[in-house]
Amino acid sequence: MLKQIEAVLRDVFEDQDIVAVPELNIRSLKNWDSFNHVNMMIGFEQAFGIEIPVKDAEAVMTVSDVEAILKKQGKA
Amino acid sequence: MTISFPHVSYMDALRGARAAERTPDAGKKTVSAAIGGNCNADFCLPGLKLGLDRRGYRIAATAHPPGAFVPWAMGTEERPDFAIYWLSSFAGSMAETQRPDLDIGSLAAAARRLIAMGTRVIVVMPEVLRAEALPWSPFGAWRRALSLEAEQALTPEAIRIHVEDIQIAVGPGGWHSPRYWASARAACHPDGATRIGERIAVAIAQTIKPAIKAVCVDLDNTLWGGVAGDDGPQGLSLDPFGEGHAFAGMQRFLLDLRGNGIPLAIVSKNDRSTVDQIFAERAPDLLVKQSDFFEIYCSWANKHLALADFAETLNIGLDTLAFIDDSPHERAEARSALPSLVIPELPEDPDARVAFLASTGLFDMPAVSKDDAARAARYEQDKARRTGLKTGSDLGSYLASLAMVLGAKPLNGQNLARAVALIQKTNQFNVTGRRHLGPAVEALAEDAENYARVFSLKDQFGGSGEISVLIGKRAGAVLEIDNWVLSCRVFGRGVEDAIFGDLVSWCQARGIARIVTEFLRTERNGLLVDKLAGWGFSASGGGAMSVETSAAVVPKHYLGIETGS
Repeated sequence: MLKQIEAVLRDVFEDQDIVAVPELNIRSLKNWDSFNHVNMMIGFEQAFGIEIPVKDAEAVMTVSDVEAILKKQGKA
Repeated sequence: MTISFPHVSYMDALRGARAAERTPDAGKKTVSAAIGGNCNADFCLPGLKLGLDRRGYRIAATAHPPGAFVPWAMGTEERPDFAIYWLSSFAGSMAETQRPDLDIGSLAAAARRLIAMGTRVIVVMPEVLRAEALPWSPFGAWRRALSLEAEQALTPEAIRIHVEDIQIAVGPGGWHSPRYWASARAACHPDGATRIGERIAVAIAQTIKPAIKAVCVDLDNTLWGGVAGDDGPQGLSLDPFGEGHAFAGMQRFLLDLRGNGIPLAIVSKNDRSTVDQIFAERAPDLLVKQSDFFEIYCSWANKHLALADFAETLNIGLDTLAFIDDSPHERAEARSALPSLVIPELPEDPDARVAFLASTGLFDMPAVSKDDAARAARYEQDKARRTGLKTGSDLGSYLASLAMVLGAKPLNGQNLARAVALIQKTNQFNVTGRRHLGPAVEALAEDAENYARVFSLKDQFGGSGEISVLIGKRAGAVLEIDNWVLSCRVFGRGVEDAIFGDLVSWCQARGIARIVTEFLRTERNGLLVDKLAGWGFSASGGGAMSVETSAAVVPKHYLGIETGS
């Protein structure tokens, strides 16, 4: 699952050097802004075939927050 | 040439658009655009960028946040090539919580202001609301009133983008996504916004330069059901209530193209007498008449001969001629002989064909001007002129008999749109090859030091409309031709000589001693080489040519000139 998360992050933030570890702070990534935050959520929705509620999406800070969302939706 | 592209998801469009931006532009033209709306229009940008990249364009887009577009448009001195406004009913209703009176008057005024400055305006029109699933919802009445008000308030020049069919295609679940409204003020799911972006890309590409200028169509099992030679006139399927409805649909599609100024021709392997008999006997059942076709080629020879002849007759490039034929064999034959011809891979199922052709976007005419619509009739007049030329005794007396009058008017707001269209579309007679869009042309025309004229032509057969634009930039005693295009339909009647004469007189009256121009020889502008030499131009280094106004040669021509303001 971390690999799939990593693929979305690399795509959206246009950085092939990103390594998805649970403690990675997504909001500190080079190309992070509120628009790319939404793009990232669209990427997760498409990659995992889920819909992420706004409250969850807005609370995401780290990769482990993403894992928690996927777990809650039965994807992990 | 690739003629149809699959729809992509938002994420795929984002990846594709970014990859395109990282690739060198390979001669792609960059158009500038401002984009905004009453919702967040950013989500249609990836689809727009990718759609334009596929059609050979780049876009430099400035995005305005929700609500900021109209104030910007009312005050700006910027002149982007295109301005795009997304008028969402979902956003206008605050996500289906209110039914306010939206200020459509200000939007319409902003659009008028931009159009007057030479910018093309595109408006994404209100979409069907989710609340309308309840058929008598007051939101339905509110949205329909909004659509009607917007339709009536916007000037005809504003290009409308309608989205209802996209909503049907992606379904309510794929369109309505309130979570994106809450997180980003998006009017719909980003995949839906991507479809809108693709559609805007087609509108922009087709506005700059229509992909198709003429259409050739087969008869048997394409324009009618059945094979004329085998089934006979009465055996052909033309019944709109039965098997014939798909073929009637194809006839209607072609007639609508003709109504927009696209000339049609029949290219059929049949005896002409068989075809004449069918058009006579089945006239009540046919939507098309023989007179709707500019040429009718009936022969047993390979079809590429007729196709090439038609392109030559109209003086258009093969890459702007579409060939519609149900037979894979005929398509392959034409493709191998004329690789640049546009040949849609028509579906086998006749019912699927018109929808397929429409889905390519090749035949879209986002804004049809009166001039476009009259084009097919002008081609007919040209045909009459050519017939006259073949039977006339000598060229001079023939040209004199045409009683041609050249109208010369300053380039201004009234003829700007047509001037830009001519500059974008003209390949053969395009002296500098520059393809300015509206704002750049207007800036050149506004400088009183410059020569900037639009020419129209009429003769005993009728008017040809505006046929040439010539813009020269003055620098002291030198005039540099910035742009000179002439519609190839009128080439060879001395029109270009009369226009050159007008330019020379204008220069001499102002003490301008020399006319210079860049000239870049391309595959398609060879006819200009002889012309420039004939007028006295000679190479002056660095790809430039020049002529002293005192030594310029204006050949005898047979045109009267009317100057206007």
